[in-house]
Formats: sequence, structure tokens, C-alpha cells
Amino acid sequence: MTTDPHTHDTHTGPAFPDPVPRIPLVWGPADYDSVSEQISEITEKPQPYWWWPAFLITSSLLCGGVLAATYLISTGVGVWGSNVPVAWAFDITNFVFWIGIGHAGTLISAILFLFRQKWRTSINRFSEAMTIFAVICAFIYPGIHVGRFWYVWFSIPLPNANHIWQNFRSPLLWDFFAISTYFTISFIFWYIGLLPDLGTLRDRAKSRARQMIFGFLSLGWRGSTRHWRHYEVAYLMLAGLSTPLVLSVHSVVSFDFATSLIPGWHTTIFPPYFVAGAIFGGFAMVLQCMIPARAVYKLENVVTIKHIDVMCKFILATGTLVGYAYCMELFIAWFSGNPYEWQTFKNRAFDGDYTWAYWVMMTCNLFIPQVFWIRWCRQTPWFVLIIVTFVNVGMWYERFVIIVQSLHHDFLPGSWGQFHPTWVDWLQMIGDFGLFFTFTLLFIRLLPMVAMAEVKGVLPMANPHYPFKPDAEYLKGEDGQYPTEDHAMAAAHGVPSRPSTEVKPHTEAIPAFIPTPGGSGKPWGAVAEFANGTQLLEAAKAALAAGYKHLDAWTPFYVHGMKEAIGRTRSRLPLWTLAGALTGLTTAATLQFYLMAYYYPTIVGGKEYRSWEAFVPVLFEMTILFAGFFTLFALIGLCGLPKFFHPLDSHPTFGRSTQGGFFLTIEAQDAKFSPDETRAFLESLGGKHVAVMEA
Amino acid sequence: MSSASIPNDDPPLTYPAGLPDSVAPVGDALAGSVRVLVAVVLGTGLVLVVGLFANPKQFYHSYLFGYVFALDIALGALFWTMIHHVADAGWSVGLRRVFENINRAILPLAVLFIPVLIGTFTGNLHAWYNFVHAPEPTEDHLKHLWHVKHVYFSTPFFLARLAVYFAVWIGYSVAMRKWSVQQDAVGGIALTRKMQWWAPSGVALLGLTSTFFAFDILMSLQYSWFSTIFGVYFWAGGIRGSLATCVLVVLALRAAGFLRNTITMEHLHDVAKIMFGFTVFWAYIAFAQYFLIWYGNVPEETQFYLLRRNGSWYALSILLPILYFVVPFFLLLPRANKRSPFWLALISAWILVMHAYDLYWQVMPVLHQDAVHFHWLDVAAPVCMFGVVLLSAVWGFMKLPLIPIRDARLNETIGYENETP
Repeated sequence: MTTDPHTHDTHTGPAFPDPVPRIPLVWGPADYDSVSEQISEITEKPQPYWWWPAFLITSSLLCGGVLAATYLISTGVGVWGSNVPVAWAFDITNFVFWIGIGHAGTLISAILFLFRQKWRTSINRFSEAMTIFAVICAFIYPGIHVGRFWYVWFSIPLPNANHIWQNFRSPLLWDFFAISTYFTISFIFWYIGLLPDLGTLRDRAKSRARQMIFGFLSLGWRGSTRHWRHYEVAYLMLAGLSTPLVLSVHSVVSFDFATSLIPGWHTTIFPPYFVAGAIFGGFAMVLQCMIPARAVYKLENVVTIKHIDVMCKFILATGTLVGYAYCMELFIAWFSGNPYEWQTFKNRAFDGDYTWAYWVMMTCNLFIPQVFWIRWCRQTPWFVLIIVTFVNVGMWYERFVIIVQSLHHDFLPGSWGQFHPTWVDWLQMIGDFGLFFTFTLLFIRLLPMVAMAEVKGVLPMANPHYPFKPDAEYLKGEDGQYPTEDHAMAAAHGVPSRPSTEVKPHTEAIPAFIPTPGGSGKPWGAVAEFANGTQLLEAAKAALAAGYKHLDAWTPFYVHGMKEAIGRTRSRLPLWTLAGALTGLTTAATLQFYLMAYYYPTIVGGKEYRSWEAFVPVLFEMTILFAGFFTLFALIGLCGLPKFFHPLDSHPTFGRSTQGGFFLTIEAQDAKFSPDETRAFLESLGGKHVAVMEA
Repeated sequence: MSSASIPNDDPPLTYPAGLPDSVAPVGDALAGSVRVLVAVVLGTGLVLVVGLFANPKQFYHSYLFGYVFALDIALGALFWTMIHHVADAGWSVGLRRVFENINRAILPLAVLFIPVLIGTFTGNLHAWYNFVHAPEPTEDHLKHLWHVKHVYFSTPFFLARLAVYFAVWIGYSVAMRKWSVQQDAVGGIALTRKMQWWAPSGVALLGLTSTFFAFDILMSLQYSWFSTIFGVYFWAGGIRGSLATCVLVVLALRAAGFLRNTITMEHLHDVAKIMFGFTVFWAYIAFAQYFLIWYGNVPEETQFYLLRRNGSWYALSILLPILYFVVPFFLLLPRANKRSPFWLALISAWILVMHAYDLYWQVMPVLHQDAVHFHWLDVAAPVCMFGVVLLSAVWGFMKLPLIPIRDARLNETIGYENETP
């Protein structure tokens, strides 16, 4: 084992004054078991009384959407208000709106992860789920907006009967690649994040059905450190892939507009401006759903006021960025001296038919969020709920203004027109909200809406260096006062639990040798339970030092330094990610250049056959897509999952490894293993519930 | 290390016990290097003066190129100083002093801006000067342009804007540094909260002012060209350039024996990660600008790139994304490179040189439209200006503790560990 001078066990942090202690991310005396229980119970207990009425409402709205879509498909796009010149209206507005909603989920799960913003753990699961539902909502529109949804396959890269392939230089095709990649990677990321929690639900399951379902879905995750070491790296890789992906998706959406020459659409700031707007709107939607959910499920200790406060700051920052983009557009429209550009913006902002919509957008997105400079406004949930409603409205109007206003007044006064939505437009739009909230309600019921394993990892008790002070001094500064009101508020929830020093006793004595159903009679290995991560870490190191090699530690979350303690090094999984990236890049390059320049050479927009620029979006998306798939399969392969049965399953307390238990195992294949000596050795390390398992 | 270099009117500083290194001001320990640096700045400054008389047009363009190179870095450093407070960061407390010392260069750079103004108002630099000061053109398509630019580039408005930009930058730079230095003496959280209170507005104003600075001084070199993303492009370069400068300064201090256990490779690893992120960000912004103009293919927009396709400029245009994005991307990708002082120094130096390349590519084609004409002033100007930035930084380290010694989050920066799975 290499001794890196910076591993955690050699940490001897100096003690400088700490006048502003960091506020823990989970408030009150939560521990591993209470977190498991608090979150899992939401899915285990009967649904609360309001759930069915809420579900009935959202699913009725959804039915309305289905009705509208059916009517559209059976009759034709004429049932919508879209016309010439406003050929894109509610459909694409809603499409962009929903795609944008998804972006906060990825920002929280990926970008904040890369920045080690650990407060994200309380909200990332919920917002990632929202991402997936929002992308589904968005996907409906490319599917139905031409009215002939049986031609949707045209957007899949397959040739038609005349050997003509898709136009790879078209932003609409990039959209297809971007959104399907985004959906896939978000889903993979979400699912990988869910694995440990699905294991928790399985181990807590009282009914056979739940045990089977979650056992199947969790792929047999048991919290092995050999798995964690790949898992953590895979998670990092996916975060690294998702970060540029989320920037690319809304950039590609912005290309739908910005590559054309319509005044009001064609401007270079569109890509980052759309991304900022998407994150802005997405955060608003996260709060819109999270604030009520947090209140009804009493999650105030997990999703604290500080979480809401920080998200409001994000809304303020991104709202101001979006405002910056509005101002840049307006300024450059004037500064450019281009009369068409200025005509559009003058009409938009000052004297047109849609000026009211422009100022709704400006008010909701730029002006109203400025209240978040004030602390009270950020920390009062009901008030935040009102403000984020404005933001959601404003972001919808932003897309409406960009799309409808720019189209209704283009170069030729003779072709100017207006847009009037029909009842089908409205029904479709409302139906989409029905779809979104139906999915959200189902998700809350069926799956853990907070990432339990990640939250356990950020509890004060999980941090071996957490400076536990005497209870009376908790969160107080050097002068014995709370440095800020936030500190006082957090302290009012109670003092955090210290790590338990005793293993939770089992009701019955554990036999020394535990048979496995259908076992071979030979021992699989020995197992011992420890009270906390630090004890387990010490025990693992002692076992390694004693010459044992086939060690494994089983923990509810990844304990830092554990992989070194069981004698493992950093996972080589990134090489698989890199291989996937290169495969994707090569595939996309071959596909596009071959098809567009040789197989069926096509001139688009007066560009050369071989011009590379327009191929970049698909090159990028396929690189990410393949890298993501390779990461997923590498994780599953390197961990040897799925593993539905394991000798350890027969141990009476081992199920706690996904909740609050810490286990060390030494396998029989170890040269030093002997059932009696190893068991005695584990007991000498302070292990409890020690047993030898049958293979 | 002499404590004598601390200004006498202040009470002597006391250092918290338990710091792994002495963080007292370096005092005269670096005097030799400073003398060399001063000599370089004065020498290249002299070369610039010679250039002014030898070839004024070339001088003003080279000067502008060197000037924005340095200013962009100083503004980037101001951004990092304030973003540290916005995020209530702990790990980067030690690095903050480096950024504070670098952005101090804004003060001398404000004075050094005068030659740029002279270049503009003598008609040597910005072509719009002659355009807006000529009578209204008779051609219809120019009339509209003239009316707009006539207003925007009218002398009082132009000068007032620039005064506002510099006032904002100097104001925030001086205030942030002043409070930080005060805290070295008195400690406590009142100053921390003050800095945190002011920083968010500073970041917002910095973004806005540097955008318009980029519009006024760089984008307007081709005054009929426009790009809404140009301001973001300008930040992206400066933010990355200041990170590279920070890494080089820290590595130099470490090589000279300072801060070895205070700002460790753990910190620099994280800086390198952020540098990697901004490498990708620059490519994203640069591509967004190029791509939309390429796809739209409208003459008033493509003029920017068409000019940079003339003669040997074409080769430089193709090399720019390769040298400024692809090379650093792959160099910064492996974890080992981000943790190696040698590689990190090499990559940071590379990024700085490429940052200069990028600005050269933005400024110089306006003067030499047919092909690249490399001039000795193109070396003298950036070296001189970057020397000013470095001198400001070193001056700070000679006078002030090397890290904010009484920061409320000192705990988190000393012995900081970079958690990567």
C-alpha cells in the first residue's frame, strides 16, 4: 500500500479559532438509522390522506393532455393556433420550458458535486427525478408537433427508402441527439445514485413483494467497499460527463433559434443565456415542488431553511445573469446599427403587440427575484413559494417572447401576423403539467426522495474530524454567542448525535457458524459488526496489518480511507469512461462525415461537404452518450453485479449494512484464514455479532 | 524575514500559533528577483517608448494588446477574490491573498490606460474615432450606423463610461484588500461579514463593467462588428489567465521556500481543476460565437472571422483552438499532472502565453489586415504589462502576511485535503 501523506488517517488538523462554525447540513440529532427510517417510511407507510385527491387532479389534467394530443393527431396541426408566420408557438415554447426545467436537476447532481457543495445531497435525488420527468414532458412536443407522430422515426438516424439520411447539419437533428443523450445520461446517473438506497429499501422490506422488487432493482447492492471504490469514481465520471452535457443540451436547443437569421433569434449569446435561464427556471421548479413536499413530510431537518436560502441565492444569481443577457440583446440590437434587429427589439420591448409579454418576462425574471438580496425573503418558505411561481411564469413567457414575438414581425411587413392559442393549445400545455406532477407524485410514493446514503455521508457523525463541542457550546463562536441568526436557528433543532460506540445488540445470540441455504458446507468467510466507521477503519487496518488480504468492509455510505484500509487502490474505471468517449467520438465522426460527404453528399446552407462545424454537436453528444454507457457497464461489470444472493444474507444483522451498520469480512480464500482463529481475531478487534458464514 | 517592512503606524502583527510555515511578509528575501523584475519592466518600457516614436500605429496596437492581457488577468483576480467571499469558501483562504495582491495591479494599470486613450483620440487605434467625428455620411446604410455610433462613441459618454469602469474596479479592489489587511490585525468576523456583504454586488458590477470595457475597447476595433457574447469571452480569458498567474506565483513562492506547507499541492490540485473547467468554458464560449456566426453567414458578423482568414492569419486562427483548448485540455485531464508542480507550472505558463496569443489574434489583424507581421513591440508590450502585474503581486508579498492570518476560515485552508474518490 502506498502511503500518501494526505490520507485521512494522518490528518492532524491545527486548531485555529473557529469564530463561524459551519452549520451542519442535517439539523437536529439525526443518525444513520433515523435518516434511513425518516426517508424510507415515506414510501412504506400508507399514503397520506391528500395523496389520492392530488393524484386524481394531476392525472385528470394528464388525461386532458392525452385527449388534446389524440385530437391533434387524428385531425392535424390546424387545431392549434400556430399559423404562418407564427409557425412555432405553444408547442416549442412548452418544449423549451420543460427542457429548461430539467437543468437544475443536473446542475445540483453534477456541477455542485464537482464543486463539493455537499448541501446538494438533501435535494439532488428529488431534482434529478424532476429532470427525468421534465425531459419526458418536453419529448412529447417533437413527437406530436407535426401532427403525424408515426413519422417520428424520421429523426432517428436511419435512411429512408431512397437512401437519404437525416441532415446532420440541422439543429433539429442535434436536438434529437442532445435530448436523448441527456435523458439517457440523467437516467443512468439517477439510477446509479439510487442503488444504495434501493438496497436500504430492500433490507427494510417487511413484505416479500417489496423485498423482491427492491432486491431486483438494487442489483444486490450491499455496501461493499470493493463496490464503493468503483461506485464513487463512476459517480465522479458521470458528474464530469453531465456537466458539459447540461451546458450542451440547452445550447443545442438555443441553436434551433440562433442558427437561423430571424432578428431576435440570431445572436451569439444564446447558448449560455439559455443555459443560465434553464438553471434559473429549474431551481424555481425544484423549490416549487420541494417546499410543499418538505412541509407535508416533515423534512425540515433534512431540507433545511439553509437549503432554501442557498437555492434562492442561485435563483438570484442566474436570474441576474439572464437579465444580463436580456440587456446585452437589447443593447447590441441597438449598437449593431442593424435596422431589422432593432425593429424587432423595439417592437418587443416598447411598442409591439407582445410588449406586455416582454415586461411580464422582465418583471418575473429580472426584477422580482432581486428580493432575494434580503435574507428574510430567502428564508420564509411561503414567500419563496410565491416568488418562484413568478419565476416559473416568467420563464415560460421568456420562451413565448423569444419564439412568438420574433416570428410575428420579421423582415417583410406584408407577412406580419399574430398568434392566438386555441383550446387545444391550452389543454395540451395543462396536460403536460399534469404529466409532470403525476410522475412527481408517483415518485414521492414509490422511491426515496432524498438520497439517504449521501445524506448519511454528510452527517457530523460521519466525519471523523468533526469538532464536537460540549452541547451548550454547539454552533457558538469563540465569544459564546451564535455568530449569525442561521446558527441559532440550526441549534434550535438540537445537537447532532455523536457516533455510537456500541453495536446495536441483536435480540438473540448469533451462532458461531451460520449455514447458507443450499450451502456447500465449506466456510465462505468470517464477518464482524462494528459500531461506527472509525472503528471499522481501525479494524480493517489492523486486519491488513495482521496479514489478511481478502478483506472487505460493508458500510451504508462510503467511508473515506476505507478502500486503502482494505488494501485496495483507486479504481481504474476512468479508463473505461475514456474508452467509451473515444468510441463515441469515432462513431459519430465516421457516421457524419461518411454519410454527409461521401455516401449521399448533401449541400446545406451553402456549406462545404466536409465542413466540420455543424458536426460538432452530434460529435459531442455521442461522445458523452457512449462514455456514460461504458461507465455504467464498467461499474456493473467491475462490481460483479447483479448479485442477488450472497452468503452474508443469512447473517441476522447484516441487513443493517445498508442502514446504519458497519461490517468487516475476511474471506475463506485468504491464506491466513482459519474459522476459529479468524473469528477470535475479529472479536479481539472489538467486532460484535461475529460469525463464520457457509459458502 | 524582517517585520520592519510592516508600516510603522500599525501595531505589530501577531501570528496565530500553529501555522505550519512562517507567513510573515517576505521582506527583502526576494529583493534580487524584484530588482530583475523592475529591470525587465523598465527595459521593456523603454523599448515601448522607442517604439512610440519609431512606429506609432504599431506601438498603439501592441500596447493595447499588452495592456488588455494584463488588465484581463487583474480583473480575473478581482473576480476570484470576491467570488471567494460570495461562496463563503474556506479552502481557498490562503489563495485569496495571492489574488488580492495580483488585482492590486489595477491601480497602476489605470494610469497605464492613458496611452490607450491617446491612441484612440489621435486616431491611431480605433477606426470609429474618425468615423463618428466625420460629418454624417450620405449613404443610407451608413447613416443608421453613424447615428448609433455617434451617440455611443461621443467623447463625453465614452470617457464617462471608462471612468465608471475604473472607479468600480479600483473601489472594490482597494476595499476588499483593505478589509482583508485590517483583518490580519484585528481578526474577528465583523470584517468577514463586511466583505461577504459587498462581494456579490462587486461580482455583478465587475461582470457588467468588464463586458462594456470589452465592447468599448476590443470589440469596437471593428466598430461595425458586434457579438452579444463578446463580454463573456473577455471574462473567460481573464478568469483563466488569473488562475494561471496565481499558480505560477504560488509555485514561485514555494520554490523560494515560502508557504510550502501552507498552500500545498492539495490546494493547487483544486485550482488546476477549476482551470480545467474554464479551459472547457472558454472553448464553449469561443465555439458558440464562431459557430453561430459561421452558420448564419451574415456579412456584418462574418467580417470578424473573414479578417482573421487573410494570409497567415488563417493558420493562427486554426491553431488558436488547438493550442488554447485541446492541448491544455489533455494536459490537465490526468490527475497526476494536476498534482505535479512541474506540469502545473508548464501548463499555467502555456495557458498564459496562449491567453496572450488569443488577445493578439483579437487585436492585431485590425492593423495588419493582409498577414501576420510580427513586431518586436508585440513582445515588449505584454512582457512589460505582465511585469507590472507581477510586481504588484510581489510588492504585496513584501509588505503583507502571505495569507490572511486572522481569517475566520483559516481552519479550513491549513491542512486542507482534497477529497477525491
